[in-house]
Amino acid sequence: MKTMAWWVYLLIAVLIFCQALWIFIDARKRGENAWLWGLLGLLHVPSSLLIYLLVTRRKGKSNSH
Amino acid sequence: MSRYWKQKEKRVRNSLSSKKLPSNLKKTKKVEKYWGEEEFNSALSSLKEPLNKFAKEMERELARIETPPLSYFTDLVHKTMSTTKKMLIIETFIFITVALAFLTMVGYILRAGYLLPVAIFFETATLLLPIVILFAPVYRRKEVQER
Repeated sequence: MKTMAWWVYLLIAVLIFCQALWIFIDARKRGENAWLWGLLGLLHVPSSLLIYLLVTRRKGKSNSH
Repeated sequence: MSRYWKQKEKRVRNSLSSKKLPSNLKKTKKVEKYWGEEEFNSALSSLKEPLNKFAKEMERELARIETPPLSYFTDLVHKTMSTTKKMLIIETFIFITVALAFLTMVGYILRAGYLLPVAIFFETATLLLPIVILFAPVYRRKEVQER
């Protein structure tokens, strides 16, 4: 089985870290469960971000109506 | 409640209960009006003097207390804001540490050749974490708005 180059792992790790940090800070600003969202952000990239954006933005829209 | 007020209340109650209803008045709205207005006014007039005395006394007491200057309150607000900011920064640093530790641990385990356990863990977490987020009570705390 062909393994990925080391820099691909590093890139994925950096992306995941940045994504999780952004989600954590944004969730805290919005008064959501920042730690849980942040941990979810540490699992996948970019599906976690998409789920977070979908859930929180939709919630925000429904609250504003 | 002080003894004086208790006695006053008792006196008013006694005066209310001793009053007989006129025979032509039955228990209607008219009766309520009759009792309400007259008795209330008499009770109020007897209470007026001590109440005024009490209010004056309170005013005198309040005038004696010194109000802190406005700078004290602004300092208090600034202090609270800076403490909140500090707490937020500390929380962010804790998250960064946890995230780095988690990623390092995953990398270390992957390098050791445990791909399947890591995959199982990730899939389980992906399944369970959204459920936890959905059902966990939201602790709503907005960040302090910066000017």
